[in-house]
Amino acid sequence: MKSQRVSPALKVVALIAAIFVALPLLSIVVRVPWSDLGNMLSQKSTRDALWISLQTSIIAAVISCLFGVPLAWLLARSASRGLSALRVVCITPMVLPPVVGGIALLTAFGRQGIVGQYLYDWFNISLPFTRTAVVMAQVFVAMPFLVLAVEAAFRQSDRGLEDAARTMGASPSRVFFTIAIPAARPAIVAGIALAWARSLGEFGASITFAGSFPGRTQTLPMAVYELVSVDYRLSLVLSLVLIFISVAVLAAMRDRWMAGR
Amino acid sequence: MSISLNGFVGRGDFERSLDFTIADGDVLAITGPNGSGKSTVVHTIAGLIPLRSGSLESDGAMWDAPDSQQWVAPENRTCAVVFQDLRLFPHMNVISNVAYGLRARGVNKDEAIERSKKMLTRVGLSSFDKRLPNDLSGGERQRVALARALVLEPRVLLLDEPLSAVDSASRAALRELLPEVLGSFAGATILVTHDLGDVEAMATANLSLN
Amino acid sequence: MLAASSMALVFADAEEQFLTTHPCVTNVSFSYGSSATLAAQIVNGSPADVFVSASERTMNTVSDSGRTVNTTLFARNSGEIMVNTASRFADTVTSLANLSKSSNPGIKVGLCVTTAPCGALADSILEKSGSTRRALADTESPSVEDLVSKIEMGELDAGIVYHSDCVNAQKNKRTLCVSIPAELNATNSYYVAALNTRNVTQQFVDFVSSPAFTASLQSKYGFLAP
Repeated sequence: MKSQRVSPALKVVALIAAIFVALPLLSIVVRVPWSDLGNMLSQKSTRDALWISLQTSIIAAVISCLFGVPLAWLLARSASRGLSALRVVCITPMVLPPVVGGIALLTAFGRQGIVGQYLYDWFNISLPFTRTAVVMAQVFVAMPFLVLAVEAAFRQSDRGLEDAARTMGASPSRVFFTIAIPAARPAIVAGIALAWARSLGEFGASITFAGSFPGRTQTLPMAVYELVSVDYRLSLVLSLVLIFISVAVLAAMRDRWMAGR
Repeated sequence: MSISLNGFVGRGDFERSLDFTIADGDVLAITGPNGSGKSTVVHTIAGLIPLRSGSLESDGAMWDAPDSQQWVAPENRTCAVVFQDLRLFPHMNVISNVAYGLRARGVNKDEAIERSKKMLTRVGLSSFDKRLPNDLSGGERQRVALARALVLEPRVLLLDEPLSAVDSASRAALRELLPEVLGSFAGATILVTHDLGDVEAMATANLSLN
Repeated sequence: MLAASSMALVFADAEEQFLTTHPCVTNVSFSYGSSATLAAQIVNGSPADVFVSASERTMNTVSDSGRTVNTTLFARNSGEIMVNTASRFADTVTSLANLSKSSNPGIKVGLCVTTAPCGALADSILEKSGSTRRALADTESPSVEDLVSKIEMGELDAGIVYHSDCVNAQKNKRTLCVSIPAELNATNSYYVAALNTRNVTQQFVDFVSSPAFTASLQSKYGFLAP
């Protein structure tokens, strides 16, 4: 892509914006105790938090995909007016403060919750403070990212191909799996990556609904939060891990991260 | 097999009343200037656009009758379409494109590929199996689209401007292929075209939308 | 003023008293949290005037950084088991041993994080009774406020909190207190520190360490003598 001439004033403003964002991230890289890195990364609490974070975020990304893609399909293809209300509701967790999401999950699925009370009274299932709760909190905040990206792709996709498939005898579900999904593959991949990254960084909803216990429900962000006032150097190391993973995900997606491009 | 359409087709500017019946062996050419709604007729018969009113009947079975709320979905109709913009599936190779409809209708993989290969040979593309649609010329793509429809052995073949997306070099070859294929086709054909030469060469009847 | 969350109720009531007896002070603002978190904030430059901590260790964090002008011990607290009255385990928890999963399968128990004073307190108690955090707890709260609210809400069946928290929460009838025998119990120390040499700062510190105030802590709120 050939670069265009950009006015110097605009360049200065842009540069300030870039520095403002890059500087804090680079500061961590500078201040991390590199000599102790290996040592600190192999500590049990670090390994536990990393394992829990990876396990829950990957499961959450997969669940977001399995349920989010059909939801995106419904939102993109159905003409009913009630669905635009549904879309708003499904996207809301994206803009909601995560801790509010956590409170909402507690109100629905906690032991006194609207649904949770029956789970507890009838089936003895208590969801809060379990690893399942961590995954639930992550899916709650991350799935909307996937739904948004994939719905945009489904909207823009070529209905003509879907029509052609149907005239050849394909049922709507066959069309969905053999035509629609392959066509939306870039958006689905981007959606999964975004959902995964968001799950990995989830804190507010998770700590409210799933609590924090090392080795059980304490994820990497929670470990960082606790360590800030106690072992600052270790918190820098864990922060570096999170930054590294986030940057890697975004770099891998490059400029495909906006749906439909 | 016969198709009987009697009703209002399309919306707004395109809305018009039609009444025709075709039977096995017929080739009905639908002609008219651009924008006269010729493609709409094809889409209506295929089940992609509903009738406004009236009825679309095939061999006694009612495919579309809005007044009595009868409707047969496109995948359950025994017609095959060659669209004006071809609509080959870009993420599948040629053989998968041609075999798609057979697989959708439950034919097992080996038989589907077997029949597809035979059909590709018939349209002159015998070694094109693994090629991708994007790598083909206009004329080659047209033949794949034709093969894809014919391999289903439909009772009704709908051809929407079959020679329009083709460069002039390939058009001559297709001009020879098409009548030969239609000649040996057992069902009814509807051929949408604006070229009166095609009409003369292949049609047994003409419906003009002017 | 930055204060340990176990003092939240106390200072909410005391604010009015302080303002009445010190008419030249127009406003006192309080911020509560885990002593460890607050200590870190002060060390990093938070512009507070007074710091009230729930442990010697967290106060040392601040005084070691040179921010304190003077520190005074003014109260103590001990541990207690708080149980939610609506919990199905409400009747069966009569001692520390009943908090374990082997005694009460399915029970959900919370503790404060080790780095918070109430968590350090709980650790001492557990050590004395021969149990471990890992065997007992389902979740760790960053502050005792958080732990108390989770038990009150019913998301947790029980937890080890301060005696003062238990006594105060009991009034709502949603929780009850189970005492810990003296030989297994532990205490923590509350310190008040002036962080600058302002007049009002010292007035507040004097107020907090006054005999009248410390006596009311014991009689009204369940704290122990310093």
